[in-house]
Amino acid sequence: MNVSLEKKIAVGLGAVLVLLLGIGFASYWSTTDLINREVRAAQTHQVRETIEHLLYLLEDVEDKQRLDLLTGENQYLQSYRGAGHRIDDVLHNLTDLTRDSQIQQAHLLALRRLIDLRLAQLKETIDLRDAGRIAAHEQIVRQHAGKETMDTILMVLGQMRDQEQVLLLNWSKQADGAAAFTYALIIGGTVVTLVLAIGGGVLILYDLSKRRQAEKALRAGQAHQTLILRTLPVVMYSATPSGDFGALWVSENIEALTGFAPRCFLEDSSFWASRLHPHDQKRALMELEKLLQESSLATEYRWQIRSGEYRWFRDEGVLIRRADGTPQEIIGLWTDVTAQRQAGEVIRRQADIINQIQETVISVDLDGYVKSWNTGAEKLLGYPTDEALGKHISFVYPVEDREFLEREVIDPVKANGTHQVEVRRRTKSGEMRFAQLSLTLLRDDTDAPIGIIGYSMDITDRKRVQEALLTSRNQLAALAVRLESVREEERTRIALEVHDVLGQALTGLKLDVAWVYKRIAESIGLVEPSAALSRLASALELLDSTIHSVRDIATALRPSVLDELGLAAAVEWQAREFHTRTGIACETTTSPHKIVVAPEQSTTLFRILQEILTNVARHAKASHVHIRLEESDEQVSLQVRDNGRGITDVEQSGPNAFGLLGMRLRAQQQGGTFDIRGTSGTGTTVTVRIPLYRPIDD
Amino acid sequence: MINILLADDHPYLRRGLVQILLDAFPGAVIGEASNVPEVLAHAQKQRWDVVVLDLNMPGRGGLEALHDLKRLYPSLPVLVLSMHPEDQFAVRVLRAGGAGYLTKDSAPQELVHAIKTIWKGGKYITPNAAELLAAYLQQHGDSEQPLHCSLSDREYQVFSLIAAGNTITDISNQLSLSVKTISTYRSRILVKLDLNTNADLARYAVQHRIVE
Repeated sequence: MNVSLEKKIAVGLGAVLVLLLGIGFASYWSTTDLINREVRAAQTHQVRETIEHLLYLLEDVEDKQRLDLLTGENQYLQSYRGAGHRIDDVLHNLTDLTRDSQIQQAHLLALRRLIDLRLAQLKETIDLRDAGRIAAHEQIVRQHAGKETMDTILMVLGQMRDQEQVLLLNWSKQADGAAAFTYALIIGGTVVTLVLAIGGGVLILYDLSKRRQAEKALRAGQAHQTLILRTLPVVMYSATPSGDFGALWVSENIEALTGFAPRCFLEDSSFWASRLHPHDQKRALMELEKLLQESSLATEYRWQIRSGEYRWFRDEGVLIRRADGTPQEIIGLWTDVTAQRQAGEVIRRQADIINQIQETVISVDLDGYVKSWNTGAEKLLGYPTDEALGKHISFVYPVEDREFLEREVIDPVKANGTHQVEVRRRTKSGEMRFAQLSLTLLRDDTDAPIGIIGYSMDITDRKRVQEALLTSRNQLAALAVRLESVREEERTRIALEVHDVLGQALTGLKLDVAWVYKRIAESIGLVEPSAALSRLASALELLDSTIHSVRDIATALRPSVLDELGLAAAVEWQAREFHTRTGIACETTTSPHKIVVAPEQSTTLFRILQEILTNVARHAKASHVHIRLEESDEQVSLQVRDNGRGITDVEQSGPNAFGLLGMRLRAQQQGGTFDIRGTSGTGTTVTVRIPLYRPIDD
Repeated sequence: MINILLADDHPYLRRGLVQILLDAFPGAVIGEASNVPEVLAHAQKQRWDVVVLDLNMPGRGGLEALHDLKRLYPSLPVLVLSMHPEDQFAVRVLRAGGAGYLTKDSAPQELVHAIKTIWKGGKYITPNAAELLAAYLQQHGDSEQPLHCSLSDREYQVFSLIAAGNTITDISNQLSLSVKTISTYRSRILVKLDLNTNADLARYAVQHRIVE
C-alpha cells in the first residue's frame, strides 16, 4: 500500500491530537475525581467532628440535667431547650453530610429516636422531680434506664464513627489508585505523544531529503536529456496533424542536421513542406495524410537543408489523439539517412537487377527451402513471391522428379560448388516447363555453405521443338522401317509366288514340251531336220531361259537360302555370289558354324550385308572383303571389312548417305547398332550388332 | 524293277516327271507324295530304290525331310530335285547325306542319268556342284564338328543342365535368369542340335558324353 507522505503526516498529527485530547480528558477526569475524593474525605472528617460535637451536646445535656437534679435548679430546662435545637441542627447537618450512605442514614434514624428517647427520659426525670420528689430508688432506676439509652447512643455513634473511618479508608485508597492511574496516564500519554512527534519529525525530515535528492536527480537527468537531444542525430518533433503539418516543437539538434534553427520551423508552418524535394513532396504529404487514419508512419524523403543540398530523411511518427478521438498532434523522429540510403542503394540496385531478370533466379537454404524468388520466377512459374518463400523447392517439381532433384540437382552442387543441369518444373497452372539450371553454392564470410542460388534459362520452346523433332524423326524412322518390312514381306511373297507357282509351272511345261519333242524325234527319226522339231527346240530354249529368269528374279527378291538354310548359309551364298558377280575376293568366317537367329534378325542382317556389299562394289575400290558373322550369348554381330579406299566423313553424313541411314535404321529397329569406320587407304569396316534377346523378352 | 518315290507338291510337275520316268524305266513302281508327312509315310510303308525330293514343299521344307529320311533310313538314297540354283543348296544337300542335287531346269535326260547312277549306289554330282563342294572344303576343311560345338557358352551351360534333368525353373533360379530367357535358350539349343524334345536333348548329351 502506498500512502503519500502528506497523508502519513496528517494521520500522525491526528493521532497525536487524539492522544493529547485523551490525556487531557483523562487528567481532567482524574483530577476532578481526586478532588471529589478529597471533598469526600473532608466530609468524613466533618461527619466525625459533628458526631463528636453531638456527643458533646448530649453529654452537656446530661451534665446539666444531673446538675439540675443535684441542685434543684432548673438550669437544665434552659439548656435542654437550647440543646434540643442544637442537637436537631447537628442531626440535620449529619443527615446532609451522610446523604450518600444508606448505612449512616439508618444509623442516624436510629440515633434520632434514641436521642429523642434520652431527651424525653431526661425531661421526664426533671418533670418528676419538679412534681414531688421521686423516690430515691426510682431515681436510681431512672438513672439506669437513662444510662442504657445513653450507652446505645454511644454505641451507635461509635458505629457511625467506625463506618466513617471505613469510608475514609476506602476513599483514600481509591484516591491513591486514581492518582496513580492519572499519573501513569499522563506519563504514558506524554511518552507516546513524544515518540509519535519525534517519529513524524524524523519521517518528514527523511522525506524532505529524499525529495531534495530526487529533484536533484531530475535536474541532472533533464540536463542529460537536453544534452542528448542536442547531440543526437535524431530530431524529435511534434507537429500539427493537418494542413502543412507545421512544427509545434522541434529538438534543438535540428540545427545541426539542417542548418536551420528551431524557430525557422516554429515561425513558418509551411517551412517543412516547402523544402521537400519536388519528386517526394506529394508522396510525403500523402503519407502524412495517411497517418491520420493509420496512427503511425515511417517514410523516407528528400529534404533540402540550408546548404541547398537535398538529403534523405527518415520520418517516423505517431498520431496523438484527444480523448474524443480527434487528432491532437503528431510526434515523431526525424533522421538523416542519406548515408544508409547510399549504401543500401547499391544493394538495392543489385537486387533490382536480379529481380528484373526475365529468367528465374531462386535461392534456397541448404535444406532446400526457398529464400528468394525473383520476378522472373513469379512470371515463369506462376507463383507469387510471398507464396513461394519458405516452401521446399520441390513444390515446383513434378512428384516423380523429387528424387532426381535431390540426386541430380542439390547433391552435386553441394559436392562441387557449382552445377549445371537440365530440369523440368511444373508451373502453378500445371504446365511443364524445361529449364537449363545453373547452380552455385552460396557461402558466408567463413566460407561455410549457407544456401544455393540457381539461375535458370527456360528452354521449354527449344525442348518442345526438340521433342517434336525427335518424335517426328522416330515416326519417320518407324515408317521407314515399316515400309522396309512391308517391302520385305512383299518381296518374300512375290519371290515365293514367282518361284513356286510360275517356276514350277514353267518347269512342268518344259517337261511336257521336252517329252513331246522326244516323241516326235523318235517317231520321225533323226534323219532330216523337221520344222516342228526345231520350233519345239527353240521353245524349250525359251522355256529354259525363262525359268532361269524367274529363278533369278525370285532370288533377287529374296534368296530362299535365307529362309531354308538360315543366315550363315545365306551369308556364305551371298559372298560367293558377290565374288562371282564382281570378281572381288570375298571370305566369310562364321562362328560358331551354326547360327540361330530370329527371321526378322536374319532378314535385317542379310539386307544390311547386301547393302554393304553393293556399296563395296560401287565405291570402295576394294580387292578383298572379309565377312565375319559371330554369335555370342547376347548378340549376333556382322562385320564387313574391305581393303578399299575407306569411307570419308563427308560420305558418312552427306546428303547421299541414305543407304547408311537405312542400314542404321534397320539395325536400330532390331534394337541393334550400326557402326561404320573408314580409314583412308586402308579400307572400311562396318559392324552391325543385334541383341539376340530384346529387353522386352525378359 | 526300280521303285521310285517322287516327292513334289506340284501335281502338274509330278505328272511330267512320272511320264519321263516311266519312259525311261518302263514298269517302274512310282510312288507320289506331295508333302513331308506323306514322304515319311511312304518311306515307312515300303522299300524305295531312290527318293526324288523337292526342296520346296508346304509345311516343313524338303531339307527337313532329307534330314528325317537320313536319320530314319540312312541307306535310303535321296536325290534332291530343286528349283533353287546349285550354289544355294547343293553343298548343304550333299553334306546332309543327299545322294545328288539337280535343278529342275536340267534336261530330263540328266534326271534319268542321275537316277540310274544313284540306283547303282553311286552319287550324282554335277560339275557345278562338284566345284562348289571343292570350294567349301577349301574354306571349311573336312573336319565336320559335332553340332553342339555351335552352342555358345551360356547355351552349353543351359544344355548341360537340361540334359542333367533340371527343370526350366530350376535353371532360372540357378543362373538368376528369367524363365523366359531360359526357355529361349532351350529353343535355340533344340534348333542348333536338330532336336525336338528334352528327351532328345538328354539322349544327344549321353551319346556325345556331355553328361555321364
